[in-house]
Amino acid sequence: MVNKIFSVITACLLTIGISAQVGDLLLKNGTLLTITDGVKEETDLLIQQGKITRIGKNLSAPQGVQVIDVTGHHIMPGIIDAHSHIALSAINEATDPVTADVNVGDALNPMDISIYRALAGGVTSSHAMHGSANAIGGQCETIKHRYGVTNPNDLIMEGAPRTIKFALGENPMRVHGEGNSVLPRTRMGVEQVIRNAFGQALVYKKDWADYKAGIRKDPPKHSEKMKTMVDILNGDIIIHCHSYRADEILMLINVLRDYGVTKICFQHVNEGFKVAPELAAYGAGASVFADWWGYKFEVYYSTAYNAAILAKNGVITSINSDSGELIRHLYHEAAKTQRYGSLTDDEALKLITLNPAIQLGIDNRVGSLQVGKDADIAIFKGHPLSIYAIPQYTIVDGMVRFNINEDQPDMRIDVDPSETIPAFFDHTAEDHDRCMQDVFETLFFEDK
Amino acid sequence: MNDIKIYVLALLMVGTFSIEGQQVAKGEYGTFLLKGGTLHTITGGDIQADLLIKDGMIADIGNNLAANDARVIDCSGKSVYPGFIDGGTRLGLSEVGSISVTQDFNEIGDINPHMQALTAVNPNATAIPVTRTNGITSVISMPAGGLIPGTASLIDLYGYTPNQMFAGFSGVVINFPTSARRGRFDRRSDDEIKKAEERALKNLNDVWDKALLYARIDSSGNAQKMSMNQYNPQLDAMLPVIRGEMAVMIETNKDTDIKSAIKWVKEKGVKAILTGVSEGFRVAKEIAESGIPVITGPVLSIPGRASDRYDISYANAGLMHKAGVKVAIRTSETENVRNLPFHAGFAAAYGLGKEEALKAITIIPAEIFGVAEHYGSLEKGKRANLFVSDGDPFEMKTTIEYLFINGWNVPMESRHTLLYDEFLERTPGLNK
Amino acid sequence: MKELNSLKCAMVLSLLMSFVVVMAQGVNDLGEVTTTYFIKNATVVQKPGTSLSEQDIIIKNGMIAEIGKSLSIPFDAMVIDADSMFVYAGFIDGGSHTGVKKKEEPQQRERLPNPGNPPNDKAGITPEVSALDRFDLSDKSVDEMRRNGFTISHILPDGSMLPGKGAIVSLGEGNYQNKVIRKNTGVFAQFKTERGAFPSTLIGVMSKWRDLYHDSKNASEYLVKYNANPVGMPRPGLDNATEALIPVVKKEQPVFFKAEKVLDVHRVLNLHEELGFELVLTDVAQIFPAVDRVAALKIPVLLNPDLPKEEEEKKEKKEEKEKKEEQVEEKKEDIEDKDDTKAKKDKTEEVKDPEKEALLARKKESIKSYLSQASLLEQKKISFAFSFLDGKIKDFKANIRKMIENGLTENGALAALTTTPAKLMGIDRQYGTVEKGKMAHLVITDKSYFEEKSQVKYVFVDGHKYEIETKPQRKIENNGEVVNISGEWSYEIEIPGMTRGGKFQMEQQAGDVTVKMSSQEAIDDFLTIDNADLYGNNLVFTATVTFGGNSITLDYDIKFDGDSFEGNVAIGDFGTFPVKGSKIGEPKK
Repeated sequence: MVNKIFSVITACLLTIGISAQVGDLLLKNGTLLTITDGVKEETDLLIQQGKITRIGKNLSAPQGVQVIDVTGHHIMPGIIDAHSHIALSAINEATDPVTADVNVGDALNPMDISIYRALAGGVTSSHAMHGSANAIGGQCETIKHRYGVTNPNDLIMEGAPRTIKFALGENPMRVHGEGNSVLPRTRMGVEQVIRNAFGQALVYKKDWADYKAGIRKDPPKHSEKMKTMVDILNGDIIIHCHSYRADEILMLINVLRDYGVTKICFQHVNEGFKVAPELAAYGAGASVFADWWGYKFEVYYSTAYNAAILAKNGVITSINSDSGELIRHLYHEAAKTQRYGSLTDDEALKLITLNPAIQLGIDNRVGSLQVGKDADIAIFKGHPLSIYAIPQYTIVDGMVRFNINEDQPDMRIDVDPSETIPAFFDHTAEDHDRCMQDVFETLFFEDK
Repeated sequence: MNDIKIYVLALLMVGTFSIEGQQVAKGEYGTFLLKGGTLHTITGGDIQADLLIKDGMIADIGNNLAANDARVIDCSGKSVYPGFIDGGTRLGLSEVGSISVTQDFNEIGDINPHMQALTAVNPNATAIPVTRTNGITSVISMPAGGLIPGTASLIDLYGYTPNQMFAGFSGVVINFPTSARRGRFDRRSDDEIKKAEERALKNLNDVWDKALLYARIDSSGNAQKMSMNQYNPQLDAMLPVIRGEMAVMIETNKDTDIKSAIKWVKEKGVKAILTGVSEGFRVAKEIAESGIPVITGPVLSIPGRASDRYDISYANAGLMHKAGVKVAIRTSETENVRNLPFHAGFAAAYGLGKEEALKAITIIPAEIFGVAEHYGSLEKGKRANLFVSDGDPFEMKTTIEYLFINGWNVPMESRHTLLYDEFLERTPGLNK
Repeated sequence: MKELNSLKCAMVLSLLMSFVVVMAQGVNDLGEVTTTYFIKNATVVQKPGTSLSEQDIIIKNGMIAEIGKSLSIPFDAMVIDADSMFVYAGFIDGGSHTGVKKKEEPQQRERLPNPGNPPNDKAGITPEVSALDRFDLSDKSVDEMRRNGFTISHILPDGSMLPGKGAIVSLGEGNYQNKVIRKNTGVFAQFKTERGAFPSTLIGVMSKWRDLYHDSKNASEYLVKYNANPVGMPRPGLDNATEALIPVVKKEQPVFFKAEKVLDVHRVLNLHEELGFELVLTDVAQIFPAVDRVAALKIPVLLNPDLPKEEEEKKEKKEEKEKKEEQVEEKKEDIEDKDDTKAKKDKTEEVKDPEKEALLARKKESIKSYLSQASLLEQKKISFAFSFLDGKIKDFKANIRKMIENGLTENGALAALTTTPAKLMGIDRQYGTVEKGKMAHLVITDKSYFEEKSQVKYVFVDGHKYEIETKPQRKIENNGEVVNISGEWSYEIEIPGMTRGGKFQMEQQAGDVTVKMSSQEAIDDFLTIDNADLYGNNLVFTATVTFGGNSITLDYDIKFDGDSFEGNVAIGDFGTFPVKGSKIGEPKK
């Protein structure tokens, strides 16, 4: 009995253990929620080499291609989370208000069980972000949920644009101003920290240009931090900015306008609804919680109708998790916009598919069911916006990474050899916001 | 060094501003006839009937009820449900999560049965109207922290004073000693955890023994019309528990903890409700055998162990129900109590079923709290705590159109709807 | 030489006459009589796969002068009869803090004015430091390594991100400076950070590495230009770290990067691929999921030899026992309500919990992966040795046997202890094999080292002999039954030609025993000994006495049987003699 269970687990892990591979599949007879081309009933979808190659009726499977009968099921593009901290071993380098140099891509953890839990909620990609301790935080990594791999590099979505975390308001003010007595202690300070970093970056750029041109003989000091800032100025990096209040959102838009930076998506942006026309006019994205509010003062004047107001004002809007819990049911979070703001199915589904893809600069690859796109797909029993929806299969690059019929209780990859029964964590107090992880450890706790 | 830490922490936590509740429109009291809707009575099936609200009660249920002077609300094509009850929240006890001066659920001290949540409930908390808009009419508002955080109370979500809101149940909360890890930051060794658990259990038993003695002296004192020579507010608050007049709400989540809690309850012969119970599925049979009712949740939470099935928190309520446990559902939330129907909806989808999930936030909590005479179903003679929706209240597209609490027709308005109304089409827009 | 015997007797006589509590002092003030040794008739494992039997070895001037059959014994040689013994090259530790003092942690961490840009030393960045600066040969960790057959350590400094540079030292006595085989082996790096200063996390360390590396690279290139023609060029302003890392940039020194688990391994490999420095993965506890990448990049590995414990089964049994007891209790309850037979049946069905069984199976599989990791490295042809930063030397022998049980070949194991680290450290021309002309670094064991009960008898470091006293294998006899030995006992030691005696007073409380000992010359003058260990009926303790400025140890190993005991006592270097005694009085109240 035990052996049987174990061999099933092993087999299961083996099948998904084939690392960054791509697969072939034919999904037969499903209801396709294409996002860009309406709903297609009783339609097939063919995947070859990890890409969607055909969508249509009565497709036949090329030889050797596995067929999954999805009759009665809903098929949607894999869900994309534009703000998460899963699959990371480190989140905040909270020692400096500007840490553009650090990159959470250096700290990926492909064996985090949260990845599997996200897959079981239909999420195929997430934006693994630096925390919000610093006005200019670290660079982030767009990952694909190829659960089963052990090499962190295999999680990275090759070719996805570079992104970086900024953070305004309470968090950087608390960590640096109040915690370390360095700038910023106020929202005025936050602005100047960011302006200063851009200003320094221009000097750095000039220093190196001078050196390369031979005007300067000795090499300037190398700075990953300034190099990254220069890349932002050059438009090579998309800013994702943790923000809440309307005033600070406008502040950053003004700063960026002064420096000619246009690639910006605001994160959380609880008061985005107040400045929706300004966001739309600047072309800034907004990635919001469905309904989180009230946990601190800067989110006290919030509304669960935020996403609806933003979307209806023409802002590219997405709904994110920022949490290992919420990431498991983003389809449900998106559906909240139907209760709070009466969005249509397509509008609501866009919030967790195409729109986050646009915000991450990967909409040419994912975010809709279109021929030529990556075969990142979520299959549901029931409509994904229904409370009774249950994810059945989740496919990444044509590989089935979650299959409810083959799911085992224990899906860990890395089993601690020193404990039989994994410790029980009482999550009632914690689990939500990892945005500030590592910060208080750094500031307030000694080892042991 | 420690001083600095505390100082800085204090700086981070304390704000010195005051925060006022949101103004929303007043409720309307009177006689209402809900005409032609589908009544989801919970205890008597789904029926097509009219429902008359009068004097704060469900005055009548039946076909073609006469309107007389009642305001008629056309409910054809609509659904009527009893108001939802959340078996565990901090609603009214906290206004802004990170600002300690707005938080009234965690008093100094470890043994605080005398701390009354009802005292600190703010009837004008911004989150209360927000919560109502999803059909929630009553909640347990409970203190937190320490071994015995205080006494929780069931409140209706409409009223201008805590007394008006009180809904007839109070219970002493006990955080049962645990060997669980508190979270990612919990770096204690297994040994330290075990010792802390043992210490806590000894504390709890000490409290209990002292309370027993206190109760005995109090009783014999009363019999001889003598007053006690000591007043102990903590033990005084335990008297109704010792005498079986009040239940304890025992918060416990880990499998082995649940078992020891059951053993403790049997030993002490106390009237008990288990709360949390996130690993209830592992010891469901033992819970069922004990006959102790359970309020479980949050359903939307991650599994307690890395090796658990991804959906075990969704499935837990259903698994316990199947084993014969009496299960109610809670959110364990403050500003997000409005998600209660969604917690129930996930439990429904993952094994509990829709009908039982509905019961788990209506009649079952009412029974557990001993208020089923007045709450938890659409029955003649019960309080008019109910709502009218345009569909399944668990479904996301559904809108709650009317909501009544003790017969008050409460407008579906909150900070969230007011901001929507103001900002959907902001004027002035982009230009001055 | 003839005097030796009489000297021996005289000393034994004298030392038994008076016992004095000792302050630890140098053991061998007489010094060495000769530095020429003749190891007679041993099995010599010259290097992995090459084993010669019935060989003699002549050691002279610290080097191996000759190896062969039936060699003639040099006149000045001390002969070591090594019949049935095995000779190996001295083991080489690939990286450890042996003899290296720990970095002192400040009592109070100061709050830095600018934690985002701290001075290098506050950030744990001191690659200019040498492990030798904090090395102390008299530290007991040196002796411990040696007792376990290690004659050479690659010492690494203690600290955080970049604690400093390593050095190779010979673990022999004397002034350490003569013991340095190589300075500046490479830079030691870790993901460990100082708190409250940049970098404080893994991501900070990765970023800081890039800055440091590029700065050193730029500086190194600039120095070339500047040195060629400084006219019109600003003076290079190198800080210590930048300068210290130049050899790394030039690939003259590798980075010994501590990478505990597989994710650390990948991260270090990423840095290696990106920046291009030479790398030695150091103190790796878990590498099996990454072996293919490591093999492809041809990166050498220093394994942490510690292995996960397999004690679970015992524990399980204990738990089962407890469970049974629980059931007995429950049965008692059941008797009270007899009708409930169904419930009883359910309870017996519960005994095996399939969920727990499955978890246990997964854990066992995980343990197996760790146990067979060394074998996997061998199969993948990854060059590996052992390091002892986190690992425990005292468990090493047991662990390497487990690795062998799980597929590592004995040759592979020996290579990891000798030839591989020698080559890795660039000292293979002088060390790592037993060959004529090499330095006399030898381990001599009573049987093949890899056998379970083998013991290290001698270790030669630079031709200097260390005789390793071996403690007898102890087994708890009489089934672990606890005996009470409290009371007063007489004892007699039989030394050829004489018998010496005295009294013991034993005080036993639970498992703790205090021994007091007197001699016949002063029968009531007791020396208190607090190092006694009682294993069942087997008592072991060491008394240290001084005579004429020399301290001599008496190692007792005796077994009690009712009112008498028997056993033996090892007296210093003089030999082991029988001892017996009987009870003469009950404990004093």
